[in-house]
Amino acid sequence: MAWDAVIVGIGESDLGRVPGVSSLQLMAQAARAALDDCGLRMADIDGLITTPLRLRPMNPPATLLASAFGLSPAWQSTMDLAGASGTAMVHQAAMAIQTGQCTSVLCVGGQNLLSHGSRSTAVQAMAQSGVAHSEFELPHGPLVASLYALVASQHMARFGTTAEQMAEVAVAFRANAAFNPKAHKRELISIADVVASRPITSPLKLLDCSLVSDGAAAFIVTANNPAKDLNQTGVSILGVGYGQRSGYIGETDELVTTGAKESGARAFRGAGLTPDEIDVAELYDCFTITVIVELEDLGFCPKGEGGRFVEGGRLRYDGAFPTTTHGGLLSCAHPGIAGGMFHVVQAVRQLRGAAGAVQVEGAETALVHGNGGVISTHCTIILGAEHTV
Amino acid sequence: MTKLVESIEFEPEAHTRPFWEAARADRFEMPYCDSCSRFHFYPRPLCPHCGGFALVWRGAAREARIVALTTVYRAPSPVFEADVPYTLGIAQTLVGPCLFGRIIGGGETFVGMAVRIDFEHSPGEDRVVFRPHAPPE
Repeated sequence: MAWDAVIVGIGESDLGRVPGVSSLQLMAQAARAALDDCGLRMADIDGLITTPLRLRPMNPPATLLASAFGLSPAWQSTMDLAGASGTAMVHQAAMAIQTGQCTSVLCVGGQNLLSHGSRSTAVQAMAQSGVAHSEFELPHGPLVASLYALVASQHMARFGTTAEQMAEVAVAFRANAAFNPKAHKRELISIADVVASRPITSPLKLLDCSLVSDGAAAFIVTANNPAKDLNQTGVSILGVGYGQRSGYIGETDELVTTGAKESGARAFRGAGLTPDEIDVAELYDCFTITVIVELEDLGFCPKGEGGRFVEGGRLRYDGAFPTTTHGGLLSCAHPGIAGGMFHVVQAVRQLRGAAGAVQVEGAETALVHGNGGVISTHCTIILGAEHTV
Repeated sequence: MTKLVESIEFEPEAHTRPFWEAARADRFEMPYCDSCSRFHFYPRPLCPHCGGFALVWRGAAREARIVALTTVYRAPSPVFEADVPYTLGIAQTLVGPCLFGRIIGGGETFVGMAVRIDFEHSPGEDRVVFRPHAPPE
């Protein structure tokens, strides 16, 4: 069943290192770009969703944005499913529209995570953001990367996954980012570069880890029959699923199977599709191992085969299974909780046939996956090109 | 920037305090549900297995097995810079629940290694540590 709501507008701010620009300004840039993209005006927006900003105490972000943008929304929400927020926003906007609360929802998020302080203070702030248990984990000194490195260590021990296979993910997403004029990092890298990069928290090296970036993304979800003519036809929402198996990583002995198994199965059931009917995937990529586990749990390959699956550049824009074609958190931008929104933006581009050099020819279905916490909470959405409805 | 924590001290919550009180006395205790006869960890306000409230604290065997580990080379904050590199792991106890801690004692570390759950005490701070432990043949 397709939802009665569609994604009509997409936009991004300047990305990467954007000094001298506030989080609110970045979000305003992204919102403006999304409005211009579809031909709506700010005055047409009657619903608003954003994500928390974790850089300073503030009013609830949705209320802050509404007043900053001059909006008086009929429905609004500040939602926090960590990295799963980008995909979940699409669903929650569609629910608000389908239940008659509003007709045109602006989804926007992002921040100046890099330029607000330094890379080091951002790394420290993320480690202390609550993702590690304040009593049983944080006092031992884990990075966020350490918590994912635990997943990688178990995947390697159980399935023989190698550092080189994890590196394939970083190399492919960089190759994709090379064609994205906004991407934070565009210089091509090799498997040897990733494996030889600075050890951060074994087995993860620097180039296995996502970036710290400034940036914001926005998309606009409207009723399927909008009141006015728009510049863009809508991208349909075919299926949605959520899943969660664990909370803190230290509470579980099963680190290599996640709630993505349930979120994916629910999204596929809703869409009436199977993994082999997906033309392009936009997978959440906070670390290289994350993508390998997602590919397995979402059903694109059997459990334990993710390392072998990504070999030979399979995830590149020109590979057998084009994935995260904008470059992802590893190469395009990671400004915090909103980082998963860029995956949604790129999926819309692919389904419009507007992804330029990384366009997957004839793409009619796209799966977007968001992963929040440490493999904790998941939201998968399946989108379709307009004519698939 | 929200104030960053520059120390590793913390104030236990009401539902975790018994763990730390036992640890200070060198006892390893976990929450145990009298309704379904199962341990759980981390401490919770109710039993995550059956939803019951009949929780008591009970001693458990200290033998455990490492199910995942990582060696940290880049400290998350200045307070840990003197410690790098250090190895963190998740250990599964014989009765099921897992704990997070530092693996100490040197030597080779690997997934599957047998460890003993122990505590390190210093002023204002108690920490779970895992020591390599050769299980009886």
